[in-house]
Parts: sequence; C-alpha cells; structure tokens
Amino acid sequence: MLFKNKKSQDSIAGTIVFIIVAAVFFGILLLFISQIGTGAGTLEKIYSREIAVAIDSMRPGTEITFYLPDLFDKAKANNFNGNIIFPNYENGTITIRAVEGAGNSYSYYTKLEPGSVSFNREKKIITINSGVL
Amino acid sequence: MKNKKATSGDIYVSPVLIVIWVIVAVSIAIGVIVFYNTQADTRLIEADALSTKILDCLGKDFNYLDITGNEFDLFKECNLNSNVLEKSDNYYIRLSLNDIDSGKIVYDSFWGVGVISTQCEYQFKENKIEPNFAQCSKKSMLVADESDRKYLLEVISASNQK
Repeated sequence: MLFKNKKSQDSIAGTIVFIIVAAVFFGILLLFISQIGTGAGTLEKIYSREIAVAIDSMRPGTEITFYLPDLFDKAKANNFNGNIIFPNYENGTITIRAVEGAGNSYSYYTKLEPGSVSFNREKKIITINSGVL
Repeated sequence: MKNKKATSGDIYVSPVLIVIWVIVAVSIAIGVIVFYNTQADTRLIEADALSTKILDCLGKDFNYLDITGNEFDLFKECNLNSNVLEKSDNYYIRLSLNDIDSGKIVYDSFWGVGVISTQCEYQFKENKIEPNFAQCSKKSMLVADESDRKYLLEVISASNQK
C-alpha cells in the first residue's frame, strides 16, 4: 500500500481536490480576462476611438493606413463578412464591427469627403484619406 | 493544540475559501474592465487635436477681418463638422482674440455646450485633470495682421465624448 494510514490518504486526496478546484477556478478567471482583452467588443471599442482620433489628428492631404490583423482575424473567426468599418460622413461617426450587431461607434469632428475611408479584408488594412491639401 | 480537522484535507475547499476566491475574481475582473475603459478614453487627445487644428487653420495666413467679421464661420473655415461639434452635446470650443498693445479682448465667442466651460476653468485653475469632467485643452498663438498689429489668438477646446 502506498500510504501508511487513512489520515495521510485523506490529506493527499484533499490536496488534489483543492488543486483541481483552484486550477479550474483560476483557469476560468484567466479565460475571462483574456476574453475581455481580445474580445470583439473591446477591439471594436478601442479601434473606433483610435481611428476617430487619427482622423481628427490628420493634416489635410495625408493618408493613414492601419494594419489591424487582430480585428480582421476576429471578424473572420466570427464569420462576419459585412463592413468592418462603416463611416457616416454626414454625422461624423466611425463604426467598427467584428461581429454581427451594432458594433461600436465614435464621433470625429473633421469633415471627410465621402469615400475617404476604405478597407481591404485580404491585406487586413483600413485606409483613411484626409482629402486634398 | 492542533486542530484535527485542519489536517484532513477537506477543509481546503471550504465555503469561506470559495467566497474569498469569488471576491478576488470579481476584483480582478473589475480591475481589468476599468483598465480597458481608461485605455479607451481619448477625450484629452481629441480636445488637444481640436485646439491644434483651429490654431493651425486660423493662425496660418491670419486675417483679422475674417475672424471678427459677421460672416465668420469657424466650421467652414477649418473644415470641421458642425453636426458633431455643435449638436452632439459633447464638445466645447472658445475662441478669443486679444489685442497685445491695448490689452483688450477684440473677439470672444464659443460653440458647443457652454456648461463645459465651467469644468474647463476649474481644471485650468486647479491645474489638474478631473476624470469625471470634460477634458480640456488650451492653446494660444501670437499672430499679426497686415499692419503688423499683434494679437494673441487663444483656443479652448473640450471633449466629453465617452
């Protein structure tokens, strides 16, 4: 017999149960935290803000290209084939979507010409053109 | 004296311990959510970019009569979207022109939500950032008209977009 008495057997079993429960609990916690950081909702929120701020910081006659593999990969993983970025030129809002739904919108105050914002799903890029100097 | 139960193992996964773990987990989750929300707060950058944009636009090729004239349209002049800045209740812009020689304010006007001005004044006065207030930026530039009369062009911009 491996263990000398029942008391030490109980102690080992209790420790094993404790380790399993702790591992499961903290595993779920880590999964939750990583989901918050890389979830579609967080990516939509962060990128809608970043792009809106970039638009407002651009000087006339410039072009910015965002390489966003995580956003495009998330959309692909969610089987989302719609517009990843949707600008409303009249109301000055940028909507980012990586999953079917409303997405996340943020306002920018610079006037952009229609067609200034575009994306390429294969290259995983979003391009913004601030117009003529 | 040793507690006999404490060595038996099953005490490790007690209800008290589960409650402690839940408190730890909830605290960490709240911390992570607050962290990501703070990271996504771009109001100060927006306000700063707006001040810079207006100063760049009006300070370059400064024309005193353009700004002080009745036809002056800040949004058109600086390629800004009035739908966002005037109608969204999230922004505030104050533009003033101070004659350096006389010390008089020759132009003073604001757009957007007037209430935000109080929040800006408080933060400027106390020289601190209040996270619950709109975030403000103040910038100025020395400009001169055709007759070389000097003015201080000052812009206060604020964003409260969340």
